Amino acid sequence: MADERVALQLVINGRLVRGDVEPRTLLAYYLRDELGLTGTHVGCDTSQCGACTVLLDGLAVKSCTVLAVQADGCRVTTVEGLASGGHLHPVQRAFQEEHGLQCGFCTPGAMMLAAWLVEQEPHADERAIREALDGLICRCTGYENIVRAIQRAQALSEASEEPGLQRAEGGRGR
Amino acid sequence: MIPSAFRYRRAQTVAEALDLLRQEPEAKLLAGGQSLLPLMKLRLARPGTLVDISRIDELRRFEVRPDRVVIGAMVRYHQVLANAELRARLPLLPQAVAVIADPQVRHRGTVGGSAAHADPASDLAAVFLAADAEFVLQGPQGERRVQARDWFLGPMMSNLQPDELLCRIEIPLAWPPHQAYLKFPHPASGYALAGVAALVSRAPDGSVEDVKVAVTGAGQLPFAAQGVTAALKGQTLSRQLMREAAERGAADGTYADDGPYSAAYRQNLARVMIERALAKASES
Repeated sequence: MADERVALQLVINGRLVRGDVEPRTLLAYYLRDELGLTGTHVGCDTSQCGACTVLLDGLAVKSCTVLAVQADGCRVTTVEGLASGGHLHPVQRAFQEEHGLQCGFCTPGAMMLAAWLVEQEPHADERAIREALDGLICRCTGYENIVRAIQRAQALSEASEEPGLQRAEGGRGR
Repeated sequence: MIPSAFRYRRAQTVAEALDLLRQEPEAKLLAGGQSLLPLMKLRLARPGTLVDISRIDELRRFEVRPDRVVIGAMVRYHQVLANAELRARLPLLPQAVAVIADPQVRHRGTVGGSAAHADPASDLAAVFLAADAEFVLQGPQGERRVQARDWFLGPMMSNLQPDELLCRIEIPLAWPPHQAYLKFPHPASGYALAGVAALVSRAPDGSVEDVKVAVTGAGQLPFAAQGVTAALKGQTLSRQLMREAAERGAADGTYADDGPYSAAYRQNLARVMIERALAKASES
């Protein structure tokens, strides 16, 4: 049983990836250990903290609580896929400009959750932003600067012609 | 944390899933995995085989019909929240779904998975009981329908048999939109210490034509607070009457001491939350 491996094929940050995994391999570990995409952090590993958040077909999910085989045939975007063509994603610029991080450990998850929110609900007010941040535990910032960063990202996205995620994922559609 | 090894099978049809359940040793169905995978990572669950039902088209049906809403077992929480018609016809359901976990979990978790998992503090349990949900199962003997009142047999134990698959949940659209789900969450876990679903229908003269309330989290099992219906049916609502009804409704639960929360505390919390949910539903 332990020897069984399952073939899978996904599009990760716009790149087609084929491989095979033990069924019990979690998406977070597949990204980090098999593909070297160590930008996705594993914090609590119990589906609480959200540091491991990535986008699965455009939706923010906790990659420590998704099996790699469940993502077969899906599009995955990690923090490495936010920037494109040498340009930072509006969320990355906003986190830099508003200092939306301190130690940086939760930041990949914070930015992926923010990227989803800015795309999904471009006009989310402060209350809605704070509601969404229920899915992220940050022990440093007290969230103030993260909320400001997301508000800044909303403004930057609105000002830019091309929404960042569509670029990063090579197309939209859910 | 890594789950213990298991075999992975992906079913394309309900029939295939049922075959796999029969053939594979210690098989368990995998929907969104937001409850099962954490249990497997803690090795509290060690299925021999996971049968992934997420690609079965039939289970993704989601229809708001004139008389009922049909929710396929693979309908995810975020899809419930996005359904405008449902918000108008059965606001109780999206109100409860909106307070389940966080956005990431709501992108994966399913209504059917929650029902099958049968956590006694599940927010949806109160909705299922208050709104008379019906669970439609397929098994080796064909279709079986189970009413919500017969669904929750024990903590983490639903009426679903190991060789059966929950295909869909049907909820009658029998109530006006005077509905509310209110939750007192555990401060750390977010699970309901008491969650109350309330449905109220008023007669033209303003009196209570009918009322139904169910409570999750507070008792050992989710329960219908029938005492509320008995106390309020035909009456004209008042603060005093709602207080008495909440007292009687809370008494319908069975409570146990649990860590810092005594049985008396839990019953009192149920009473308080029933009263608040009644007030909110009747004002909505």
